Amino acid sequence: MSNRRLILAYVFLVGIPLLGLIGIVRRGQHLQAPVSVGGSWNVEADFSPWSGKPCVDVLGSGKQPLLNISQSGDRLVLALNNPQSTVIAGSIRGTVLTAGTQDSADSAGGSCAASQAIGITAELNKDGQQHALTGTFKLNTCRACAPVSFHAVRQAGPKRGEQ
Amino acid sequence: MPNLATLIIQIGVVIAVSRLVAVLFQKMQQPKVMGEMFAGIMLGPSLLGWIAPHVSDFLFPASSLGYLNALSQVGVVIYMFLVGLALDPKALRKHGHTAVLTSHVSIIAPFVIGASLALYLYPRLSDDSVGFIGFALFMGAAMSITAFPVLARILTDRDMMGTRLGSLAIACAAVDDVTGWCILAYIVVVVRSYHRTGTPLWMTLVGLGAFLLLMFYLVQRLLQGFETAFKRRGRLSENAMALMVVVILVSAVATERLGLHLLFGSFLAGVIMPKDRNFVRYILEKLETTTVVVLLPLYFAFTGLRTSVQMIQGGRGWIFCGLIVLVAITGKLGGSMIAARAAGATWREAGGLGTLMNARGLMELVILNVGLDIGVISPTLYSMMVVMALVTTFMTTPLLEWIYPLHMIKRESAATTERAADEAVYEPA
Repeated sequence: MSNRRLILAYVFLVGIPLLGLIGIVRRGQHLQAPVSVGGSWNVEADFSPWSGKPCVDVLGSGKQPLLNISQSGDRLVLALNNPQSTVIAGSIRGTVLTAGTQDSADSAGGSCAASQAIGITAELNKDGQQHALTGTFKLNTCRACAPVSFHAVRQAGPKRGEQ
Repeated sequence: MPNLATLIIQIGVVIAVSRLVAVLFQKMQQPKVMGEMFAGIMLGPSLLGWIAPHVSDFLFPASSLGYLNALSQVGVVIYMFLVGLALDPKALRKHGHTAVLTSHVSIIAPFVIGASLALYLYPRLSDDSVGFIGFALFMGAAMSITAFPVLARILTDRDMMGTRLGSLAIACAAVDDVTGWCILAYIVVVVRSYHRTGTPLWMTLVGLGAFLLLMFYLVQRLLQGFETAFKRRGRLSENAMALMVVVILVSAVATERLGLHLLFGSFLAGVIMPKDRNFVRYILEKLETTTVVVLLPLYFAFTGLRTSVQMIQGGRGWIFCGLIVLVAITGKLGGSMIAARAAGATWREAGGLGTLMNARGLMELVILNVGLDIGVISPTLYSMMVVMALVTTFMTTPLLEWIYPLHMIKRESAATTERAADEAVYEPA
């Protein structure tokens, strides 16, 4: 291979792609990814309104951290550390987190012990490094149990790849 | 305290399943490592956890995974040392411009295409805890890696080591591996500085510079003592072997403490080892059996336990996954092929080289685990990339057989038998 041909090959096959990489990095810096909510969250909530009702078993005896969120873009998988180890799908739009089934099954005669019917709506508040979720838990299939407000703080440490 | 009974059962199950699946894959003309990788995925939530969750919970309770992980990481630390040890800079010099150009393009092309894919995937599969630069560079690095050991194994199995294509592929893969690890080291520094966690950036950079100087200008000279002792006695004493293992571990811990990763240190320790062929072969024989038979399957199993194909949900998820596989193949296979052709290879040789370079194997899994550990990719993207690693490794042998059939290799090998004996490459299995 002649030197001239080698230089040309380097210019076209290495130089130009490298310039392209610079362009990609510049363009990508303006991209916005969904806000991060992945990780373990310590939940503080007063479940006393649910005492004596079947729905207390769904969340009331949960251990800390009550909530683990696995995130991929705006799609979330929320794992509750309750006795049923409930897993529900959710999403994040802006700073608003929603998860759980829709209210379509809402009825007076609905189940108040169906852990898969848990619905969560929350807003993310960022205060420097401190992230907090403020929102409500509710059972979509149970009218007898009123929504319960909660406040959750993200645990420190790696949010991904943890076992 | 670890539950030793659980750990021992896990090791037994993992070794048995990985051997069994490896034999089945060998019958399909696939490299053994492909079967072991697949066995790891089978033992995770993608198959065992899906069809028999209670068995999975019994075999791999969450509380036991830390010990399994620790053991498997020791295996990969030793394995990366063996990969570094097997790298021979002389292999590159033999091929001159062709190898240098091809290896550079085979890194740049998939890197740039991978980074451009990041423009699309970043808003969809990442979040704001990861900067775009770290994400894009990681995607590029993950797309550009080549499985040097798998490639060497395929070449040996197909008796291609003595062919022009075989030795060119080995030279390019060696450059790819070194470059890929340098890029990954840079990415780890970028991501950790973005997170502002762990070792401060200045300390990482200064420490890394000092560490490299120390390794290349002092430790490398001291390591020549191993080769001298080997040449004098035809073997190394147990004390010398123990000292070598200590060097690997100290080097690994040093890079970890500097804010990089354990694996960079062990790889570097291998790179700076003496490269006398008999010495390298002796060390490989001493260290690789336990590593490859016992510890690496644990790493594959641990990778499988972190991989869940169920995370790739719906049509949208599988479209992303397909896109990743397509980009990986286009960038690596296509890039290497065009570069080799531009450097004067025939289309058949260029196609064969591109196919070989496209095999990602274990090296890809190592990079992906580093990415997941430092938080630059999500578990879902990790699962998609594992699928990509499996597909690109699996397709290598059949595609190579189609492009470069065995009868053609035999004809070329016969013409260069003498040269083949001289150019035998030692590779970790």
